Amino acid sequence: MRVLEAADKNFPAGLKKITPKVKKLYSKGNFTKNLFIKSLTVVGARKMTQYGQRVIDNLLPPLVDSGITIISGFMYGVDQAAHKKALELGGKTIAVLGWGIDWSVGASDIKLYREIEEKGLILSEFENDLKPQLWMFPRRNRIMAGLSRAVLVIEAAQNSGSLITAGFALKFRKKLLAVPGPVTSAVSQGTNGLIKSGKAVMITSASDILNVMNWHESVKKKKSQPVNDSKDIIIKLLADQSLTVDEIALSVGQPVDKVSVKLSLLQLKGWVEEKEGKYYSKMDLT
Amino acid sequence: MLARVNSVAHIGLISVPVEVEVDVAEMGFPSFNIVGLPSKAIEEAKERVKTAIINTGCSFPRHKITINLAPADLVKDGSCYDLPIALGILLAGGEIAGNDTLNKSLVYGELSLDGSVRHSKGVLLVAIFARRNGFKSVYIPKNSSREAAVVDKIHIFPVDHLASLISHITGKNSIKRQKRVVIDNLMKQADSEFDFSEVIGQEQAKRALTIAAAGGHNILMSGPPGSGKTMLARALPGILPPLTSKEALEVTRIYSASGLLNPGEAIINVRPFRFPHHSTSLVGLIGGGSKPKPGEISLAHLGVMFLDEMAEFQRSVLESMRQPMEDGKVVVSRAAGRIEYPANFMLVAAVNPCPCGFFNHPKRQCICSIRQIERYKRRISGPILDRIDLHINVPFVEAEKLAGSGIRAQTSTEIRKRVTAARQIQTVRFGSDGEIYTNSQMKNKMVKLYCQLDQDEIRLMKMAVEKHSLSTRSYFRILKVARTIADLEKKDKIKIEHLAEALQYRMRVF
Repeated sequence: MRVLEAADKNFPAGLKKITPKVKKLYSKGNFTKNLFIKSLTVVGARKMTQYGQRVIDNLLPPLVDSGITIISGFMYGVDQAAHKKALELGGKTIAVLGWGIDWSVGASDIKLYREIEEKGLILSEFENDLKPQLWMFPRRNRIMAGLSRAVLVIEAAQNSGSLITAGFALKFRKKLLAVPGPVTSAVSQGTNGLIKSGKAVMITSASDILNVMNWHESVKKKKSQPVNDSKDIIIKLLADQSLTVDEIALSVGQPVDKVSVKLSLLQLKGWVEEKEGKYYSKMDLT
Repeated sequence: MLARVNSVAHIGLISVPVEVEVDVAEMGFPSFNIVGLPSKAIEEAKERVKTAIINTGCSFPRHKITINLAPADLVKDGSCYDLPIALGILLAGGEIAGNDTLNKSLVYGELSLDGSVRHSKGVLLVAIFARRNGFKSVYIPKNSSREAAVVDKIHIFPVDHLASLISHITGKNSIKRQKRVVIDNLMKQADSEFDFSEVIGQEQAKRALTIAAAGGHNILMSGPPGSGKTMLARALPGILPPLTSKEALEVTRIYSASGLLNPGEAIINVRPFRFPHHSTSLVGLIGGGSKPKPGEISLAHLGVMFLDEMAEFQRSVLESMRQPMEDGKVVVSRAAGRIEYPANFMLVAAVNPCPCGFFNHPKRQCICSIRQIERYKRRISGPILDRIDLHINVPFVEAEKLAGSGIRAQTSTEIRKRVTAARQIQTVRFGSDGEIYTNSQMKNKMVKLYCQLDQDEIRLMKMAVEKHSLSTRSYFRILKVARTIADLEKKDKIKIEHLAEALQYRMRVF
């Protein structure tokens, strides 16, 4: 573990200007100053839907390929999905904790925690094993907003912590980006609201982010994603929505057992993915 | 004078002979004593027997009456010794003369004050005991006589009143023998509250229940309130295969011993379907009590036990099912003895995704915190989940999406035909193994024998193990389910499509 004082020359520049002041920062993992140069904070709902997962699957790869560090808050849902995606793509990620740097996370999170510690960076303003408490999260959020050049909100409900982070982003004059969502979804009310009120820039693709931020897309070719040239009726159907087995069977007009077989095989090939009983395509949408 | 009448005591489902010895002594003050560890119910038999004898018009001996229930060290319970005691007193007191056939007969039943004989529990066990131990005839309550009538090669005399037993033994007016009941003629198809065709949508759940019914697999349905979990489970009896006569006898023994057969009922002719409430205690579910009685899991033997809102059950109650689910039987040990009851049931469980029930609901907002949801999911332990072969999601169905879809839902009768055919294949397969009836009960050794895979199938399973990080136990579970799917299609070999479908029902990481 490392301790950084505000006076240190390595102390992240972004945090020097924000209020309330960050006096000390504890870190675990690989600390380099370069991590923060091209960085994007990704926040969103704990109760992420399949839509949120698909957005992350689609937006993050070009960003990570362009060498952008993904900063997030290690909470369930969008935060952890963003960390996971960044690690999966071999990119850099920073987790800013809302609890003491030595507080041990639950068994379900320990694997991801270790992986970030090994390949990325873990930061916290709080010392020792201070337990997470409600007041600590907004303080953590200000660090997340301060560290990066822009904050991207994916799925946020009204009055959610993600909107607090968004508020800090505006206060610190960072770029605020938001992905619109279905108007019927509770966890899209917050993001849609940010866009409607003009506070956030609407983001519909990774290149939107790169353009807004003036980041250049890497020359490195995109990782070979399976290409959606399949004639498979199920893949086509799942290209723009996530559905249950029953809904798929009804749409393609085949018995549910046949559809189950096909879904299993597509899943083994890695072409579709399932979350909470709903299937969605892993294919690139573009 | 001394008289002996044969009767029977039940310890769980095991019957032991009891000799009712009655001595009416010429000497001594008039008294009436019962020895041989009688329970309160038997102590009170004195009053019933005395009054019944007098009300029948016979005289009650005014002498010292001693009754011994041998063997003397076995605790006896129940009211079924009334009839043998009354008969013994009449014989010993010289009121009536006995005959030799009584040595080869069993007498069993409870008396009413007016001398009539009441419906008693455990009559089937008496008949089975008589048949196995060379007794020629049984005298049992008329209301319960159809229970005994499924047993062949013994004479069954239905007794409606003490007076008719007296006139039968003295040869005045013999009781008409109960006609034999052929079990196969009584078998019928269970009625269910709902037909499968009445359930809108939920095709995957119906398919999974079909597989579960065909292979006797345990199944867990998870979904928000109002999605139809309970309705699906209640429709299940309509697709279960009918009981075979061997199975029916096995089930009826448990019901007879628990006194759950109605007067006049001969046999349990449909598969049991039990749905204990989630407040059920451990003893209620597993069996027990100071006089160990069968619990819900034994009453569901060879049938279905449906646990609605499974996460609301006390954890200790659920955990106690682990060993019976593995062994197909439960051993209840109490001060009064150690009793084994069969408990080979198919578990159908329904759970909500979270405490409020609306997690991932398309229209309603879930108000639970992620921690609450995690805690809720942990209420059902890994070992219990590990014993459930089929795990499915039952999502909320938006009715308007289904309107006019034009898909004709299968009726329960159609499904039952396919389920029954698949069960027959299993009966043939396991015929020589004796112990088991269905694919779900296969031990790993049998899975290796009956679920052999070809190269392509092995490759698929290797991919699946890696992709879904399957444990060895889940691997075997998927093979068993695939075996049932293949049986439903009447295929000898398990093919890729069977495995692929089985993978859909695997346990999701909770």
